[in-house]
Amino acid sequence: MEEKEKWICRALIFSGLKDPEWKITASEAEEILSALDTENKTDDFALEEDVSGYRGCVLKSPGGVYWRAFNGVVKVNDNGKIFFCIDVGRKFEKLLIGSAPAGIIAGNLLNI
Amino acid sequence: MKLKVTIDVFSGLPNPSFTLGDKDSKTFLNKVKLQSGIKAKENVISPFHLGYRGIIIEQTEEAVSDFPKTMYLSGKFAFGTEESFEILNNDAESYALNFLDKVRNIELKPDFPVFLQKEMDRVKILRDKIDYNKILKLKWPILTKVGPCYCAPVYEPKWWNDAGQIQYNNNCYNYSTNYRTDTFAQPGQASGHLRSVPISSCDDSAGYTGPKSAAVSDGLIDTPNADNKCPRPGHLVALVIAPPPAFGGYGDFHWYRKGNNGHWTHKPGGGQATNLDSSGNIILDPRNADRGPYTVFCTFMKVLHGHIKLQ
Repeated sequence: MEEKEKWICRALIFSGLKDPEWKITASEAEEILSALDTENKTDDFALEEDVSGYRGCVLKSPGGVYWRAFNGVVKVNDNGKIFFCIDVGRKFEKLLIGSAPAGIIAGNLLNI
Repeated sequence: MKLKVTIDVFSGLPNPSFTLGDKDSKTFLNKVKLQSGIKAKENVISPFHLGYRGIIIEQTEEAVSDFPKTMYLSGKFAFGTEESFEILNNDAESYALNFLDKVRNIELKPDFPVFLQKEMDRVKILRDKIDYNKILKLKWPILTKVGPCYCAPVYEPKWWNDAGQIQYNNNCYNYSTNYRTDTFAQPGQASGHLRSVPISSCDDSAGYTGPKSAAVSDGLIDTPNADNKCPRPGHLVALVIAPPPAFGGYGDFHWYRKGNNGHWTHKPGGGQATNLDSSGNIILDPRNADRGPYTVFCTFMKVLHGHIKLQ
């Protein structure tokens, strides 16, 4: 993975206003992704949706793969192929949120 | 005087057009023989079929007052922007065939004049066969079988909830207006009247642009007295806000839309489009639904498809 290619992160908080968004390097993304158990993936799952307030975070690779994490589950969209992974202890989610630069997300906006 | 003449024949490609100078313009209008005192009957509708339909004539310089500035010539009628008239010369349209060599906006193939003449002949026969009264009577009964809000979008969550480009880049405003931009559209962004932050109220105040006026600037129509009724045409949306201290003091706005089946649906930001409120109930009226922190109901608005621009 090239260092120059940026990965995009976003915290899904607002309905109308733009969500906080930041970029990370490939090596940072690699570290976050290592927290995910991709051995036990399944397409027979559902991501718990919250209609208001914080509803997880999203990581997007330069190649267009999306990881959306919320409350212990990660929904992966690998260029149209959808599957789910368990995010034990919300580790992936916390690492992703933790990668945000200081001040970009007001602390009281999240409930993790 | 000058006339810009456009031959309305294509559906997708640009129509051929040409400009006539003073002498040819006057000759053309004389051919039309517009009888301004004889107005077209109300049950006449402008052409809607595929293929050749008519000729658009626009007076571009030194307009004369006894003709509409812009009129659509089709068979026995000249349709102006406000009034329509009967004309005496059924062959006025064919006169345009004399000027096809003046067309500059598109390249016409050599056999186009022959094609156009055949089309004009075909349409002359077609016009005599069309029963306008029958068409006007049929229009509404067919459409009301589709759903109570037949002008409104259908609820199709799968399309919006792709867990990718569409879902994460289109927000409540995109969804409610049924207008994908992939920019997480903001009220007023496209029209230069961007909503302010924090979202403290629905309406404007000194130094503050509320989401309501910002959306109106984008082309939505404020209909505060809509009372949850489907507009025709267009569809109904509802604006609500979560004022500070919600969302860490930023506040937020949210939109719902009334669908084809009369139920309301919404899309919370980058989340999935849903027909449920915060309590898991179907939404029949956003004023009474559980809206979570979006406690303030601002207004209903009408969206006319194709009349708005979001960014």
